[in-house]
Amino acid sequence: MSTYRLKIKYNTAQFELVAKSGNLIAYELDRYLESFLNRKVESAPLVFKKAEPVYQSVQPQQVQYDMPTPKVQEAQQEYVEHVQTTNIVQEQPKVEEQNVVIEAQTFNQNIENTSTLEQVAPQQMPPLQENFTTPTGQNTTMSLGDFLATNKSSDVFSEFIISAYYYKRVLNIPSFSIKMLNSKFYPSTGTLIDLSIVDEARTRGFIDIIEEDGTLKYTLSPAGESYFINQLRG
Amino acid sequence: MAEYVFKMKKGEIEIELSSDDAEFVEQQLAKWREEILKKQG
Repeated sequence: MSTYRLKIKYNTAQFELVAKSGNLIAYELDRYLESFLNRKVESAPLVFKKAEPVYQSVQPQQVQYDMPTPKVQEAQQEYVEHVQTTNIVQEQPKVEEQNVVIEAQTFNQNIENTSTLEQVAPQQMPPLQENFTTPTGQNTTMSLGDFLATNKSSDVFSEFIISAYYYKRVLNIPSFSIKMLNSKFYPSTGTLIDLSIVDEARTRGFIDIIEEDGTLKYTLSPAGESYFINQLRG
Repeated sequence: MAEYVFKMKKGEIEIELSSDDAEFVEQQLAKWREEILKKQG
């Protein structure tokens, strides 16, 4: 299996992303391509900008010690001795020798490496109201039109990603052809998905192509699911 | 197994892509080349 590695260096900071799938790397690389070409040289890219710290006031907690006083004093004495010993042994590293490694975990939008993403994305699935019961007691699956309406479908591309998610997670159909998708998409939106939309999604790593019974089909990738959850979920 | 490395540098920023998947690196390289030429043109 191939390995894909994306390394970003900025001054002393370094970010490295390693994955077994090229889709995530391609997606991240695309994001850097945009900022790389449009960015002024002297400003740091988004990933290296410091986030504003959020401070929250914490209610003081009252702690009750059940230990008798001599034992508490003994424990405190042991702690002080331990700290003193530790301070003697440890040497402070020189600042210029430190390499700041920003882990993929801290990178934006919860995108980690592909293997982690595959584990995280399904866990972050929103509780879908995909089935509801009619007054007659029948279980009905939410229509694509309703699903689009409950999520942030601002353009045809986002509608396509939402529809791919709908197929995969609501209808439990992991792969679809353009014809299959349009059979539900057109009645809901009045427009058709064409190959340019699919190609864009594929370039951004949101859609994978698979072959089933000699037919090319598409499936929403883990990066696509993550994009839906973070950007399009209503 | 061969490894293919594609490195870009601008100012203090350096981006390095490496993989043993030649086709993938070639695709990404082509995309970057196209975008850069588009930007310059």
